[in-house]
Amino acid sequence: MGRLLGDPEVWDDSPARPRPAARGLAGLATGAVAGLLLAFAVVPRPHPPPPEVRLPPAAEAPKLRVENQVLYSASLGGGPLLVTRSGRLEQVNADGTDRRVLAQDVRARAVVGPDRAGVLVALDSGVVTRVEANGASRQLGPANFLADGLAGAGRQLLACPDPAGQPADGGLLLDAVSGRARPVKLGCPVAWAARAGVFAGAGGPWTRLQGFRRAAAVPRGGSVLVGRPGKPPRVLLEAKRLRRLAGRGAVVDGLALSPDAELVAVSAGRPGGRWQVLVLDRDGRQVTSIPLAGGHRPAWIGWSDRQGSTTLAVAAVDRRGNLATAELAAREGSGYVLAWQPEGGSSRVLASGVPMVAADGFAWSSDGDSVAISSPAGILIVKQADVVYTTASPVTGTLLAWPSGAAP
Amino acid sequence: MSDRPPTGGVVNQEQPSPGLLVERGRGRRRLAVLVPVVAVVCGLVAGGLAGERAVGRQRATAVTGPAGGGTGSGGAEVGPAGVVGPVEQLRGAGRVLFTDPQGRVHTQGADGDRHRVLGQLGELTTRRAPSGFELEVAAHLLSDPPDGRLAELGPDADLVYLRTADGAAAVGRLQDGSLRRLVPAGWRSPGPPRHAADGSVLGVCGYRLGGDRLPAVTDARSWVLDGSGKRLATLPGCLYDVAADGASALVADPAEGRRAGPVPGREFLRRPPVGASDQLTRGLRLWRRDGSFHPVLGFADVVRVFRTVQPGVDPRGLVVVTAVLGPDGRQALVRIVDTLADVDPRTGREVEVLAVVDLQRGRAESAPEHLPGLFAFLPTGGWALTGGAGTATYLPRDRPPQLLCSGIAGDGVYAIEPSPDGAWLLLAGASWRFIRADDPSVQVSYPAPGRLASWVPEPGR
Repeated sequence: MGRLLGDPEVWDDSPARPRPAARGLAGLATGAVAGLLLAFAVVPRPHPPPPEVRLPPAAEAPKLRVENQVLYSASLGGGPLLVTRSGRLEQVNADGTDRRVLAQDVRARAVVGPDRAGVLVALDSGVVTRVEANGASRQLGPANFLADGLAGAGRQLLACPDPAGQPADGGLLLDAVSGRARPVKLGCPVAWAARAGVFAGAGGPWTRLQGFRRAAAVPRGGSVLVGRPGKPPRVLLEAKRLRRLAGRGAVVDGLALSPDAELVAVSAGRPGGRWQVLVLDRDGRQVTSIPLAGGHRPAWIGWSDRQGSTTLAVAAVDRRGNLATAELAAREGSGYVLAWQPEGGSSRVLASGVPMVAADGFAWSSDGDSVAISSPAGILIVKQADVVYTTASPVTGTLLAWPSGAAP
Repeated sequence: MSDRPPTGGVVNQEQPSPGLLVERGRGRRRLAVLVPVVAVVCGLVAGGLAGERAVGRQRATAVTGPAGGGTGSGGAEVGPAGVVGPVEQLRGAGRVLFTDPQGRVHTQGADGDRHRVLGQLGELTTRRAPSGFELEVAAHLLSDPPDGRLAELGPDADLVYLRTADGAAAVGRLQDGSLRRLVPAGWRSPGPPRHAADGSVLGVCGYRLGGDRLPAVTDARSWVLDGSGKRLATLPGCLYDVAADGASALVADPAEGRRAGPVPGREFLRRPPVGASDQLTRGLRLWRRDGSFHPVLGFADVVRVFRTVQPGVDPRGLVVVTAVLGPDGRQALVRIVDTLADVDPRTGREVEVLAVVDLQRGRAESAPEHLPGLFAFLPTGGWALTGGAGTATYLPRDRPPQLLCSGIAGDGVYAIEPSPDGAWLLLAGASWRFIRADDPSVQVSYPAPGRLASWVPEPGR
């Protein structure tokens, strides 16, 4: 045995002092550990819950790109777009800025203007309506006249009748200020040369044809008339020649006059057959014929108004099968826009494929450099300079026109 | 522990009297017993409750699902380096075969997994373009391959279809390194041979150049061979495609060539001159293995189709340069070019058009597109193409077109390749972009591991 350390004289044999707090804490800890262990041993284990799958945010379908440079460039030269959206007539820059409501409760299908004073004329549910700069509107022409087409420049307007319940060739020349109307014997479609004061419209013989509207036969003209206000229109393309150029049974479905009225574009064909755009000079001589892709029909033809030169744009949309009578905005089919230049006769495809699905509005910019195409997916702007530049625009709505100036 | 006062030990002056000790320490000692007992009980309850919570309540495991978008890898650390998108969705989508500049052939899953080197063929080594570029221009008017692949591999990952450096269509074998030229000496080919899906039938276009003053195709001929190299047919004009089942091939129709007359020669401002040729393709016919022919595209249709994009075109310059058969052999995509156009196609008029040809009815319709680029049929029907606006579009059957992606003008895309089941499309360029055909919002891309050769089914499928 070894010797105990320390001095025996100072050993403390007294019992340890009771420390209730320390003992309590130790007891608590011991109890907790024992309880924990007991619980781990005794408590039954539940089935593991199914894993929680956290999906990432839904990916968006690919979209056409917004090219700000192209948008800016197009906005500079083109002025604001006129669009109709949710029953409102609006003007907005191509880049989405400066949106302004021009009129409420106007379901416009076509517009003429606005002029310098901000006044425009709209075809609102068949009624030719003058819309003032302050949004006030009034009907032009006879109260019982329902129009299916409207063209014009300045205060001169040409409205063609809705053939339901009206003579197909009961067109009206209207004064946009006074509202005075004079009958003119032509029907839809109609066109107006912006700088020449010349109009064009379809003439007889009128044939009722299926295939343009769902479950309805609509009259279509078989000849083309041109004229000036105050003079009776003359025949530019007679029915026999139209059929010779565009095929048996061909009718007129679209018209466009170049700004100087030197050239007339006529979309001609027959539902279910081949369609083409005939380009004629002011004397009716054929300049060219633009055949469309099989099953396609023109939805719009328009001349650009560019100083020194002009270009014809043809928007052709797929009308095969069920697409034949579908409304443009509901047409789930392809199409393309072709730009044809009279000088040299060359052409380029400006847009095709996806942007043409349900495309329902088309317009040249006022500087004649760009074409805008609206569809439920948005507005596409194609600027044709040396290279074709394409951009999506943040603007939505159905495009009506792309005039030069904004309403004040 | 006891309540008795201590009986022994050292007693010193400072120690209190025993009676006082008992009185003063009793409560404390009782407390020292009671408190630990209560504490143990409390601890047991608290520990038990905590243990029950820990054991009885398991939190659900959070798992990140497949990313649907084109950004982010869905949280999964899988796939090749630099991958963007839900690469795990490409698992089982087949094997991608590609080559590298050293002539090695690689394979990997479309998801970048299971990479291995299959072999090497000297002819696959990246070389400079063959000399005589100006001569090649003349040949491109005869036939322009449908895409920019250097070589194509069969599903067995052994057969290699390629064009040799001296311009001959050839078929090689990776396993033994053999190479067989498919055109006679003195003949060149505009591209690799076309072939049936299983390689049992091969078709080759051959040409010879000449011309007094300007280079021109003076002779064009095609050979159809079986897998062993035995000639099945020798045909005038160029061959463009062989049906997947090997039962037919799309070839030039010499009768249409005679009808249209020779393509005039011309010197150009913007490209090398070419001489006149009566060997270029003005129409197409289908060669059948039983030796019969079926006309599918006449020159009148070629002109009509082209006029939808260029109404005033001079028909003398229109030729077919590319034709691809659809998977069911009922349709073909045909590229028609205006050889007399002397313009920069980016800034000038349209100089080519794509046509969709219904082979049974013999009807052709144009598919207008500015600067049509690459195109490919999908096994499920429909087809895809790239266009001048930097877009790739899928045109399903009987449905409106669908945008696959935009902004690819600078991506150097040289091929569109569908997956074996047609669910995906691969845009091969500097990077590989895989796009789900039925849901283009699902995209996967990663840096190109090499030059695409083929996308073939998984072995055994």
